[in-house]
Amino acid sequence: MHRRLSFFVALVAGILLQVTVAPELTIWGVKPDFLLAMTVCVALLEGPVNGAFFGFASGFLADIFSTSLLGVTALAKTAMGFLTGTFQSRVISRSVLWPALLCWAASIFHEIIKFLAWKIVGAEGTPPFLFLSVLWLATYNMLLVLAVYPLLKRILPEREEALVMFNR
Amino acid sequence: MFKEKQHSRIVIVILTILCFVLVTLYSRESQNGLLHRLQRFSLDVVEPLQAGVSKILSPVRDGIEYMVDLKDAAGERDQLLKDKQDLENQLSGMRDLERENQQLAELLKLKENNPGLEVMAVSVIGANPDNWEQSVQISAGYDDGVREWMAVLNNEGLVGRVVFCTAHSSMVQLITDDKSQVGARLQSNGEEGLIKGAGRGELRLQLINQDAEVKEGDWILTSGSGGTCPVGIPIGTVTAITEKRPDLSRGISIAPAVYFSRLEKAIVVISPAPSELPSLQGGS
Repeated sequence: MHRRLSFFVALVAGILLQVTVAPELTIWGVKPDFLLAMTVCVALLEGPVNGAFFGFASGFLADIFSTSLLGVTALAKTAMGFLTGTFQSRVISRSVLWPALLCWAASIFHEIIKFLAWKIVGAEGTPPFLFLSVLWLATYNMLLVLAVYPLLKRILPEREEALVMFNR
Repeated sequence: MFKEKQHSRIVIVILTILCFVLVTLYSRESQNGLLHRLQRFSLDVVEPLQAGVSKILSPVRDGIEYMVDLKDAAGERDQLLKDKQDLENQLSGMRDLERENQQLAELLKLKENNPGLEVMAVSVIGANPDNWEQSVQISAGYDDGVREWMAVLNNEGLVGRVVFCTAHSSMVQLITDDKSQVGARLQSNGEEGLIKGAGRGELRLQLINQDAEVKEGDWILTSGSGGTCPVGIPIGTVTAITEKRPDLSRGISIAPAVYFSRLEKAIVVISPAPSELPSLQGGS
């Protein structure tokens, strides 16, 4: 029960940060993606299934609170939550650098998935894929994880099996 | 372990299908469809919250903008400095052009005042590196029609004469050179004599009639004798007259009319061509 509540609190906090704080932290036209950073952290703490669930929920909320094609962000974040979660068993270091680096890579794939989905569906007004902006976003998200990961680690204490896997 | 993997695969497949369903439903429904209305409602709900947070976080935003602008400001400052340097260079170039234009206009006026002369405008492109020779190099040579002993003038007066031609440039012996001698006359009474170079930018006048009346400030003009220089071109003014020397000649110092140190443009008198060719040691 406690875990589910923590999960829900993290989700609500994430969407609030994304819709209210993130626009204020725009640098060079790029907003940090709190929800993706949290998805990566949750996936690394909880595993692929919970990572995918968190990704889907946060992506769906991000879609709801925007005017873009609904379901695309949910799809991209679900995929990233699942894929990052599969790394849970492979990451043997407790350093916060690993989540940060994974988030950097996940951010790039996340944007590629979104862009491809928009192209495939033929969404109107699809922006051009600006790789430099994506790289900057990935770096920004990576820096965000350095703060978010230790915080989520407190809210979502590692499960016993996850701890075993981390210690392997 | 196997069950867990299977479970996770089922979950990801279901979630992915759900996403595709959402995308499909959203794409197909009208602007008043359920999902579109849900988006609009969510944005309406969150708008006051965004406004409040935006107000609270405005110092943070201002700080970020300040930092970002600071980087841009440094770039803008560098660009402005570069632009300033470019403009200064342009201005300097324009000043050079203006001065050149002014000199050419004066040369044109000189040509208009002497309709009998056929002249060619030339640029001074260098000077003789030898300290003992007072000469300059001009930008026209044999192929341009320049020949030895043609007179070279500018708007101020007589500059010198061509003493050496190559295909595209020529050397002009200045009238102040020690070896230069030019036929001259006093403007005030027409008394004739020879203007000789005295080195160091000075001239001496040797009158044929040693008793001729001469006073400081008198203008000396070319006499045309010798056939190398046109008649009536200013050479300079009398600055000092000394007493008769043992050879009964008077020392008459002349200040050249031409300011040689700022010589940039000149004209070569092509026609009438020199009728007599003196030796390189001078003589008009």
